[in-house]
Amino acid sequence: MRRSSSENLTATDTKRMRNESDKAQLYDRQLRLWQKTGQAALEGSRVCVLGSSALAAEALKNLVLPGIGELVVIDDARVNEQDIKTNFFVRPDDKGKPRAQCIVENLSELNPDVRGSAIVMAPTDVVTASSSEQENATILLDAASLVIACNQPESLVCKISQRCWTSGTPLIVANSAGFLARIRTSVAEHAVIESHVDTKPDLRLMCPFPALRSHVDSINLDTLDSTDLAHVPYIVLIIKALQKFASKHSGNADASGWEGYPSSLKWEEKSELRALIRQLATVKPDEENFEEATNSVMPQCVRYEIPTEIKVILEDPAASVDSNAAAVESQSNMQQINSKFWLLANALRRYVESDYAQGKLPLSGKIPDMKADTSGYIALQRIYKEKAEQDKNELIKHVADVLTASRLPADFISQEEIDIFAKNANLLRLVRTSSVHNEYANGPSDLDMLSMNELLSHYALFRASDAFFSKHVRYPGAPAPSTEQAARSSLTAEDLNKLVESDTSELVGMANELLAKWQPNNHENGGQKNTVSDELAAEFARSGHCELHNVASVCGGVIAQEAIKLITHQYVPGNNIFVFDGVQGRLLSAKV
Amino acid sequence: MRDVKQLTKLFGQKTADTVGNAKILVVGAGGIGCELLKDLSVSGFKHIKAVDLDTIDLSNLNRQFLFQRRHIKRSKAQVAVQAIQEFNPSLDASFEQANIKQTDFDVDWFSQFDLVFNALDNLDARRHVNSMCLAAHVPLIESGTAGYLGQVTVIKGGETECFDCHPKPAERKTYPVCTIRSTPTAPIHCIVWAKDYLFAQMFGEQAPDEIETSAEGGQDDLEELKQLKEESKELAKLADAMGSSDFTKLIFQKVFDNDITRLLSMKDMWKQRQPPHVLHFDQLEQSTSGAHNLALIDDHLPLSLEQAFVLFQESADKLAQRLVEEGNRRQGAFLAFDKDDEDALHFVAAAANLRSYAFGIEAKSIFTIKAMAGNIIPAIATTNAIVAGMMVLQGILVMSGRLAECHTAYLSYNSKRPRSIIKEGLAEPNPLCSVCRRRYLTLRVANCAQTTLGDIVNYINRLEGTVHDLSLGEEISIVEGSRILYDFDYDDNLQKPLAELGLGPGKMVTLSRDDESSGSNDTVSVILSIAKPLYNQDNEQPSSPLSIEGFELIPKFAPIPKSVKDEASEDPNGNKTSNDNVNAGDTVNDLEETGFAVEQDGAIVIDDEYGKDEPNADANGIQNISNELAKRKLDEIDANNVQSTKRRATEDTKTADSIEIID
Repeated sequence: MRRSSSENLTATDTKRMRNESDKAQLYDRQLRLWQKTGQAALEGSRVCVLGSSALAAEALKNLVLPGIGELVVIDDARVNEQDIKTNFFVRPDDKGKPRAQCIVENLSELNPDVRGSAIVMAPTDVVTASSSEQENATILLDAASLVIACNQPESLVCKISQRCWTSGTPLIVANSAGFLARIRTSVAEHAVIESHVDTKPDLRLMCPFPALRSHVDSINLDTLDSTDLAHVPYIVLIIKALQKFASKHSGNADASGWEGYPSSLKWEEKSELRALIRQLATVKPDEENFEEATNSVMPQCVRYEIPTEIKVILEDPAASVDSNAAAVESQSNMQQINSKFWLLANALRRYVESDYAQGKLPLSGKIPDMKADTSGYIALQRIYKEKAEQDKNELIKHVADVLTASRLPADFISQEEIDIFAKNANLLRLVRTSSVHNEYANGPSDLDMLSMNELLSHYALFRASDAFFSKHVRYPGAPAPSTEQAARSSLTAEDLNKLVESDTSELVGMANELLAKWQPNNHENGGQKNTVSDELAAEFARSGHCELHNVASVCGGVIAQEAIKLITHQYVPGNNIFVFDGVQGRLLSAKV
Repeated sequence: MRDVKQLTKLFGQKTADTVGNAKILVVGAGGIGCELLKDLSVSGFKHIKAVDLDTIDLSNLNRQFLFQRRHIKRSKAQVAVQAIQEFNPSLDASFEQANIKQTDFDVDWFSQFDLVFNALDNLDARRHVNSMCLAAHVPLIESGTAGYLGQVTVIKGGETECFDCHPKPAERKTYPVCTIRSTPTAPIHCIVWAKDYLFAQMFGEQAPDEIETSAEGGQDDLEELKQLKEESKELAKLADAMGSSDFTKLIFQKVFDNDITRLLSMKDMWKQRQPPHVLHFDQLEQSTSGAHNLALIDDHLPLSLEQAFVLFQESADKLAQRLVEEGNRRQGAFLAFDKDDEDALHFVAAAANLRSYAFGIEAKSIFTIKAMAGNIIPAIATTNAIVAGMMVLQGILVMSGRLAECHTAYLSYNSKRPRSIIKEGLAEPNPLCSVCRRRYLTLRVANCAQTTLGDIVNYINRLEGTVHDLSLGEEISIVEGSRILYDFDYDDNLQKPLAELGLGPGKMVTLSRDDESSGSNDTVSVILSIAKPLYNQDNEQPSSPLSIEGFELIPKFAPIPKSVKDEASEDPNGNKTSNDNVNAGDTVNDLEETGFAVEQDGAIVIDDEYGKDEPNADANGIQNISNELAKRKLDEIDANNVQSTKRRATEDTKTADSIEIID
């Protein structure tokens, strides 16, 4: 009789297991995107948000649902009539209550696993620590895995940016005004191992490794009947054809084809290779595997080269210096991700330079689906997997060397981490954005890109709007905060129109002034200076910087998406600005 | 209040009013649906109806934020509507926990809405809503998401491409019976076998074996199929042993020992293939009598043979026990495979892996099998938030009559453009589309138990040569879905009342020219959607002949000479809404003359935009007909161009289940 498998489990074990399976079920659909590692990073994160308007609430909703560890909202605003109309996470009877508290309360209901807290304090007070409460807020800010500033004035954003930049904390700055919104990501350095980038598989067709060579040698196409021939994987067909190519060009038809095996092909040689492949099909040349082979010549038969993105990483000084053990060990988990990345990159550089690797990256071991019989495919799969395993073991030696040189414990980087790194060696990405405080001080770094991607006007207007606020302590088209209450009741539609009109012209002036400052030589665009249109500026002023729920919803999605990429270190975050135009339904991106 | 003024300013007073008065239908209250309902409720929309058949599951909660744990198993539509109403008590929101394909959601029902939002996850329902909206002349905002990818578009009959203008990839791949049952070569074959054959036969609804013995390929295949039928029968018999202590052993020996032995005896089958191995129950039991604890199974690692063996017994036992208990309570109980049902998933994962081991196929983890067996599409809140927000913005444009500014938006992800919306202007309808280029007419039938199919055929024939001619020629055929009801050679049904043929309100039939020689491209088939009559149905006793046997046909789009139009437009409001009191006299007179009542303003309306409220409507209407015809001609000429443009646009298209995405 079979025993019940749960008999020898303790009650705690059972409970833990149930919780885990419950969580696996709850997060199942997103685990398909970022796996257990990404989920663990999310659950260990703390997100600090300055501001509590609809934009902040919508972004947070999308972070609470997938299960970040903790959220802290800092704001002293109180719920007003407009909030009730545009912010889904305040209730009609919340009017007058601290908005930060209301949204944290409502958002926390969405996921009991997330710890939420609200600090009712003006965001500007966070960076000017003068009381113990403010100090606490500052500490919270410094300990955050990610900071999001929603609709905060430029002066504060600059200070926050400096602080985050120094501590290496990623920062997302977001503003919305009516149909328009701006989202800016800033992070000094962000390493991505699991980039999930779509690239062509690394098959080493132009430089087959020994095991692959002997596998190909073990297959004799001439003895196969038509059925078997139609099941030979295209990888084998291409290598066979390349061997023929080599023999033909060496003038010795009997040669094995490994001598003089080409490492790259010229354009016309690729056509020749395709013809050679078709010649291999003695019986039925229209079989699917032969078609796969001829179609793969163009993308696959190119000289092996380390991708540019990886070269940049390997050539970075950080991949050549030994780390400071004490500094690395005192870092938070979040910060350690980048440090570990550089240790691994250092090991990878040594690996690539070694005699073993001869300038190639470790093989990922993955081969794509192809027409083949099961046994033929599995054999090939095994050969690539074994080579990948060998490469990884070789890399492990270099990792151990690097750790020793850096005086870090041998288990500082786990086998699993090396495993993931080796599998993704040709997909690594490194993101370094410009800082927000530098951008604000010196203007955008890439004006041409802004202009080319059609968001220069939007960008200039957002910056002008910031400047307008600095000057008037109110946004264009909005009455000053001190008089807002009174203004609401007394301001007629006509008054408001006048306000919008005069603010529009001032805003246009400010924006064009900024543009002139950023392009002093006026050499671009055939001497034609970029200017901002009255129409777009009027759209800005008309909004009075008020939020529209749909725009907040779309941008809350974008902010949270970027935040998740930054926290999980998976997928490549945008570098570094998005502008959403709700009138045109456009989401534009560029680099500033 | 400043904020309202501001919103009005941003949208414009007129749009704000239109939005506030519009009746909105949201189909689907899941991932996109929740976001959509939230967005609508705080964007000035007031009258919202949500329809969804589904109930809430734990795996929804990572994105369907209107739901919480305490709502699990409750109706999505109900909970979602209650949630948005709680946040905005002034909403006029209602819900239906129902399948949108139900016949009570007929064309009349769809007509009551000003705008429909599709937030669905399956092609079938999306197609259905597409054609209902075309028939009811209601604009539709379409959407879909998969992981980080998403899509939004606007469909308005006759003006834009419809959901079916271009073929969509099939949602589910199908496999040859023999591959699944005899010669699997990939993990997916074993998973399909475990789920659709073994699980369904053991625990599912007892259904006749689906294998048709008419397969092509000669005697050998026939022989094999016969064998397979025999196998299924034996397995069905085993199901009777459910609840007995050796139940799992019996199944195991049957499918992994006896059946494989039998397969091996078919020597020809293995000449070109690697033959499978028999799995021995006793051997495996011996080798797993040690420490193979289920707690040690990592969902993310491929199952070992031993793990699969233990898991198979464990899960089969549990499922059997559940089914026996359920069976005690009600007759004919069965289990349906649900990827979120742990026992069912474990059973399928274990059985699939055991089969993989028997056939020398790569083993898979439970996590992976869940995705493969359950057709799981990754889903997160962020993508849904962006897509829903875009939908409402498009909806506002449609409501304010700015269709020209709408577009198809693709949310894409790639390393060069990490996150952006790619936009395309709305495409023209495909002139060859068999869905939106059909003509949609409403057939109002008072009593489907009396009106026969022959009555309809006669009526249509009598229209020939009149202004209402449907241009289908002398010989028509009538089909419902793939069922032929009538054609030239098949008139068996003519005497049968519609009800006897299963036709009634909410059903649609297609009329087309039954003449293949003339080339069917120049004729447009006609869809008749059967509906209840518009006159007062509360009369207990049908008082006029009309209500007993009559029916009405509303030929929208039918081109009519001006003179007829002038006559007909004397009563412009006609029978437009069911609440109106109908001028019974007129209708009866009409009936007496023709036997049928043709809805009056329907007969003259070329399109909803024309002919109403416009002083020069008639002239415009006619003008527009010829323009429309001219445009169609042009479209036909351009058909190839249109298609190639489309192909270019979708060149890099990745297909993720039910949605179309440009990467």
